[in-house]
Amino acid sequence: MRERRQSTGDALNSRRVALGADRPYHRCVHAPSTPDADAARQRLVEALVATGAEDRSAFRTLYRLTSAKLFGVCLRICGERQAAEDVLSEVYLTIWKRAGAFEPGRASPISWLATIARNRAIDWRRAAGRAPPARVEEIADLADDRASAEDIMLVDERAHRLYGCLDELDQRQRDAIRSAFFDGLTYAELAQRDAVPLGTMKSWIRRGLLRLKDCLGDDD
Amino acid sequence: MTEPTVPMDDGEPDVAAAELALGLLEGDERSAALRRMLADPAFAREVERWREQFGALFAEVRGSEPGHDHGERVIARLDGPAPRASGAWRPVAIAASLVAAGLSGLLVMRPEPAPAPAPVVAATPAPMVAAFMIEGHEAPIVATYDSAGGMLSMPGPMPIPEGKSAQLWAIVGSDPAPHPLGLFREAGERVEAEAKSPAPMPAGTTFAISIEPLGGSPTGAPTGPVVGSATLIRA
Repeated sequence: MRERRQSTGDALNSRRVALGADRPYHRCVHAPSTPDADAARQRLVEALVATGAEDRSAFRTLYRLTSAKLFGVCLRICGERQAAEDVLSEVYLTIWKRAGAFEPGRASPISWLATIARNRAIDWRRAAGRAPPARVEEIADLADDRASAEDIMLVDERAHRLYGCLDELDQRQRDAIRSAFFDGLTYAELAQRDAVPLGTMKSWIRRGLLRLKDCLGDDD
Repeated sequence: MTEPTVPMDDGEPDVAAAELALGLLEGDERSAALRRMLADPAFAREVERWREQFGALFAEVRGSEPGHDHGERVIARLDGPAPRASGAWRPVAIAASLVAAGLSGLLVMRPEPAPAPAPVVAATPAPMVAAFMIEGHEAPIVATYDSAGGMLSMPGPMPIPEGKSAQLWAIVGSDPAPHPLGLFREAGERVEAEAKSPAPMPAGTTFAISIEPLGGSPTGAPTGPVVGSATLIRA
């Protein structure tokens, strides 16, 4: 596998660049919550709950707060703007119908929404028979060194542990797991992209996931 | 994730819950993992836990603005026909998928908006079948799926415990949550259950049958034992 830097453009890692941390993931994760993040999370939860009660103005707020992130998720997986916009429309119509089932105390609101977007985008790509987007040499937007409040919401204690545990994997395991997540790739697609036998790819990832599971479970 | 990790038969570690959460599996492996999710609530919870864990990574996805009028176009469609494809199940089904995904709680049922225009069906759709492995039966029982009529039927009789119903479930697309379908009833020598969906269910759809209280699952997610499962294929 090619050596490459991980996600140099994303909010977390640009922070890491700014901090000059040598360990890729641990250092970039901020304190579990900040007043900004709590307020943003609260705003989003309120918008979601009100959307669940068919409040259109809340739905507009929800759209304003989340459409850029969800479009980013769709765009990454679909690989083209038009398709990503079509998928995004379906995502918001789904959210409109499903918002009532969001459980405020439990799920992270932005992660809950982004998962809907990810699933719909993957379904579109598979139904359309499109090849997965070419390997992204991670996004190069180093100018933005500040994560949005919505992003910081995701960077909680759980994220801290996940990054810590991902950090302990071999690079190729970590790369493959990250690609599976961000690009929505199956084993077969990952194997093809990296030109390795399917069995090899499965083995890498399974061993990586096992280590991740043991690491995440350490102090459950 | 405290349960011990056991190696699978072929020596590979069993990380199916994480694989399902990431969407790595295809074909038979995916079907097997989905069936396991239906049959094993602890496994289903583990899938959900992985999904939440990985959800933290969304922070890394760089936001990007959709077209400037995109939001208004979405809002204009809020009262329109439901979106097609797998997200467009009846409200109870949508709620159910969230229950199954561990996101239960406030379940707000909405009346369905104006019915969607019937999908244009070109000629006769190819017949589709699903070979059910039923508990207590050695041989699979082959069910036929009539996508136009939205009905799944198989040879009867089906042994349903007194005072219970047998309910059909489907898992479609990337969302691993089961959607509730109809209850099995006798139809001559066969048994059948409604299997209606906004679009015909594609090959690869996983079906399951669970034993539920009379009238079907009260929660919208399977509550009783799963007695059979199958993957839909073209005949």
